[in-house]
Amino acid sequence: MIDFKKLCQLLTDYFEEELESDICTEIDELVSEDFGCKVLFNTFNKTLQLCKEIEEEMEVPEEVHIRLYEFLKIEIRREEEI
Amino acid sequence: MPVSDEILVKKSQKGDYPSFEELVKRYEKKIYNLAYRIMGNKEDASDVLQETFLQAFKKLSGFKGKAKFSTWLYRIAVNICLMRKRKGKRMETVSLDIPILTKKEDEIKRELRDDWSESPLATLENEEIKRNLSEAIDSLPEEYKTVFLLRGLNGLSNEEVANVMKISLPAAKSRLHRARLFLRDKLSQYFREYGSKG
Repeated sequence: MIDFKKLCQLLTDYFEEELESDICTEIDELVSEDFGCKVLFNTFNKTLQLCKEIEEEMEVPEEVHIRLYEFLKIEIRREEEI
Repeated sequence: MPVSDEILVKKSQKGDYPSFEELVKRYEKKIYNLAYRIMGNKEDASDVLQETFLQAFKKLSGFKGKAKFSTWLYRIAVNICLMRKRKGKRMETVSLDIPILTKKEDEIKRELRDDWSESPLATLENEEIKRNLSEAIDSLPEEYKTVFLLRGLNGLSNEEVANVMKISLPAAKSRLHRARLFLRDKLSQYFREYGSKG
């Protein structure tokens, strides 16, 4: 039997689709019947969406990219000389 | 069809520098972003990027291919980040004793009166939300933040995250879940405070 506390523990598995379908059904029912569970469920889901959006990658700045290749060339040459 | 990492690694191990350069090209953006989010500034991220690929080059002959090259590389990067963090000033982080898992049910439900998920303010176009979320991610303890970033930013599977962090799969999943609950809690706090202001 899934209750509020159990729901807290299962949310990530639910949204990553790692739960058995009967457990998902139980969660869906609980969420539709209990306001507190519904709020937790919705706000957790929204948090995941916001996190996904904020994880956008930035480009490596050009100067960092150039410095990396120069650094590696020098260091690798040094390594090979040893 | 692009050459696989496996082939590039084998060629690099035989001293073919252009193959190693191709591996650098494939992963520099991922490593830079990961380092930037863990270290919190561009200067350190740049240093970590250089150090990661230098160490990778030095250790490449010992790489047996048991794990994916990317997993092995992320592990090097994460270790460098965490070592630099430990050497530097200790960062203030917060406890992850998520109230939601420790409080009484009634007490939590009183806090869950408002469903902010449909609020027009719950968008990253709202700079305050963006800032709040970024600060909340930054304030996660390192072991939680790293798992969160590897899973989200770098798109690793839970198994790969566990491999990079050298922890069990349940531990990786647990850290990820607690980090997400913590972030949800932080956003809820923001909306409660915002509501009380209005």
